[in-house]
Amino acid sequence: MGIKNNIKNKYWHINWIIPLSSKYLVYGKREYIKRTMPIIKKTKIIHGKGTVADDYIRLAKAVDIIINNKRNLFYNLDVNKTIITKGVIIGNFTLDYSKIIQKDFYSLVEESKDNEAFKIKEAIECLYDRIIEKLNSVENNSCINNQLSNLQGMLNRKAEHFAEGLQRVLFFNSLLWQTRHRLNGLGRLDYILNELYVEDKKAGFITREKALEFIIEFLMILHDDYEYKSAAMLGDIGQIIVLGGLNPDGSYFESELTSLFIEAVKKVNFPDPKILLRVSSKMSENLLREATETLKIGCGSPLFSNDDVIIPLLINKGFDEEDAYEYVVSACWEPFICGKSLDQNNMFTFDFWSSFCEYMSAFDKEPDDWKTFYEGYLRLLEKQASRIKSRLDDVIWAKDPLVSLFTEDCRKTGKDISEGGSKYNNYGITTVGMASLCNSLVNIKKIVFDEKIISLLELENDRKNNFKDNDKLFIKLKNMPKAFGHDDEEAVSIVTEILKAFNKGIESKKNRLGGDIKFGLSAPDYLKIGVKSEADLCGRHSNEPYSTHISANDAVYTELVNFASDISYPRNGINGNVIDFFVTPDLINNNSEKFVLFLKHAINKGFYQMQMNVVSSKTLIDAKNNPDKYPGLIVRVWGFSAYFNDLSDDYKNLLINRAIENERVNN
Amino acid sequence: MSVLITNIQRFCLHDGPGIRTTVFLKGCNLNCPWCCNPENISSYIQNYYDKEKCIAENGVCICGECSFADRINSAEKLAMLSEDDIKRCFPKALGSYGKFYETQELVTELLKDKDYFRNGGGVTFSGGEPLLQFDNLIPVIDELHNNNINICVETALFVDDSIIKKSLEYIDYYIVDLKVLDRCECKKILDVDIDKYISNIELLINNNKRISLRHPVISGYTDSDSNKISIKEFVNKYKGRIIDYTELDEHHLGDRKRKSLG
Repeated sequence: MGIKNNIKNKYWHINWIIPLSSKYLVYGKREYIKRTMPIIKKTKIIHGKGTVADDYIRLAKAVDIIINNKRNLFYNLDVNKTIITKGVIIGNFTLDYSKIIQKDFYSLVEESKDNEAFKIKEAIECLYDRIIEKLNSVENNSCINNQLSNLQGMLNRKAEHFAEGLQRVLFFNSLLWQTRHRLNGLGRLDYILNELYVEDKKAGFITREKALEFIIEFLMILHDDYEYKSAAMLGDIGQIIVLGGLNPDGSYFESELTSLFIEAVKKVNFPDPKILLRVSSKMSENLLREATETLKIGCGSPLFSNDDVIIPLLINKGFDEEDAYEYVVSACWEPFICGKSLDQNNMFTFDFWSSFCEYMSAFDKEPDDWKTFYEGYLRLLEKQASRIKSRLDDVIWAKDPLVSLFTEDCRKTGKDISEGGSKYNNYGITTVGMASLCNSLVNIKKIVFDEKIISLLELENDRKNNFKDNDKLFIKLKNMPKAFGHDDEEAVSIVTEILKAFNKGIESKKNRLGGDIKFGLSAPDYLKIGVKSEADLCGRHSNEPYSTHISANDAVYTELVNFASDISYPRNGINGNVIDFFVTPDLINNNSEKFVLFLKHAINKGFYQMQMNVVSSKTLIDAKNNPDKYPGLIVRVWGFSAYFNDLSDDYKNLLINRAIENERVNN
Repeated sequence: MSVLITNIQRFCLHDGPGIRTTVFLKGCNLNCPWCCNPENISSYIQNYYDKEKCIAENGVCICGECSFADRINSAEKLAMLSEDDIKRCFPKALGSYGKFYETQELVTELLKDKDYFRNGGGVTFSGGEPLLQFDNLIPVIDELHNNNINICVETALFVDDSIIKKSLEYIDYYIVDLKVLDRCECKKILDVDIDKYISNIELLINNNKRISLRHPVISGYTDSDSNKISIKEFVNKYKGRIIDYTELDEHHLGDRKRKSLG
């Protein structure tokens, strides 16, 4: 068992601090300790005899309820109290909020065969009553009245108004954070709230403007507790709102509410909550136009997720068709079926480049030819992939009666989600180092096997030494044309074959809950793992960051999209495949309509997912030198956005370098 | 038939309608002092030396692959470089401007972004003066038209009217430079006859071609008051017959390339 999993499983009495403090690790050990100690001191652990649900009851009784009399929606998160529980609390997921909007909480409890559900009911009733009591006890004003009104009937009837729907999402979202679930997505809010909005508007109960105000307030409330909610880095919060999407009948769902959410995100200009827009060739050009307007402000939203590609691949993977059409994502980009899944989609990061280094280090004589060499690696990769399963099975999930209550099959069977009670119990892994691997393979083929300029053993020897004694070779490799991310059939073929071999290694492996292992070409760790990795053979020294997701600093946008669209993603290779690039504000501001056209054609071309930073290198450099001038500057980091000033220098430098490279090619 | 090209640039947003791929053809009959693509003036392949990429120390090549770094300081010496010399320079400090493309090879390259050309986008031939190689471009344009791709040229129009006449049936959109209108100044700065330009633009207008005019505002050359007035009158004269008129700011993007030519 790995050290991390060992700590998570065995030291559960104290490991509660890790999820609350790991965001400070990027600043170094001293800063980590400095920022973590106050959390340890001020946090009160709620734990007693009985089950997890019993602790939920205790927590509901213990949390401080603070009333904000300037808001129309109620939200309470007591960051100084938490529970402890044996095992790892599931996270990185989205609760099925539709169940408490289109139905009510009590009907979930009635449906459930899990005895713990009644304890959850008791906990929630207790908290709800305390909130109502507190609201009634403070000085009355129109906001307090609105909060009371929006909370009315929350447990025993379906939502009747748009604001009630938003209120219910907020209430249960706060419960998740309070019970230390991390990276809590928000789901298809335009879809599940649409009926309420349309009816309210028809009845004259709400106007477009009023709804926008509500959504803005909703976003502001969720943005509070920014630091507390952050996971691996400040900003890594995962409150992702999924908008739009293909319907099973082939039409595309979009509504006025879709536009309102996009507009609200633009107006508040926060890193989080963030938007993922499910795009399709069937969507209106106007919606893309609105999305572009939000992109322009540089908040990193929306991320585009291409339904035309993803839904067929989800069905191919084995998700039921009706579920595939309903997909949301885990905190960043990993497709997730809410209300039916345990799917923990970010459990481990596989490093393709290090896997190849292992292969190279085993050579003591020259391989016969390219084919033998290349196929030998694919075989090793398959083996390496097959071994991943055992590391993942180490993890023990904490009992989770709350999330189980919101999960269809758990309710039906009474089996907790931590024990495999849901319909889908897959694990997801992310990957880094593919660009290094692909470009290095292309270079090896050329200079070792085709042109025979250098032997493989000599090449490996220099690489191992980080080219210390052979700078010439390093420059040569660096100047060889990059294949990854370009219109290069060989590169597409290599990436497809590597993914296929990797898939072969893990496809037949079931995790201990009977689920599959999914993977994708995007990961949070391109910097963290990159700085511990060996030199590659395409111009990256050791200890330098890997390429971010599917990116190529020297490729124009169309090339990158063509490349990513041409890759055949294998059956399990669906865990997020994000194209990532930079756009200068000038380019997008001066060419809005053409940029919309680009997005439209790129969707038709068939990329999987796409995100971008809209910022210039000049701004980033100035912000690094003069942080006070840029308190609100937001950048896209991996699958989330963050304030630039909060990033450590290595992340800042990486973004600056990528912005500079982009401006050389795409202006 | 082959076409001499220095660069093919994809995802161009300023070279005509929609998203375009721009092809830079080598060879120009002008020698504008402000030219931002000086590598496209000569109609021959030219070697270059990009000092910023060279890893020579104190003029001595440390690659060990070439012995030129200390001596490359003129176009004449650059011209002496062999293909092998250039190939051996792995920092890519030595290179050549210009490559001959056969029709099919060029068409294949240009079709790579075909999917993005819908809604008015397409291929723009720029230069240099792209119309100088027009005969060789015809089979390429035929192929592109077969793929319903819009064709645009960026031209200074100082070419024989027979070429313009021939181009009418092939070119969908003309982006025309509007540099210096005064007869004497035009002769002095560009060494060409403005009447040729005027008659060619009238030829395009009389044939109802889609035209955009672009005026590079270059201090000391094209920014005189008299030229500005002439240009204003010219643009007004053809108002309603041209699609738009844009002024381009001065920049120095060509300096590094000019230097690299020796």
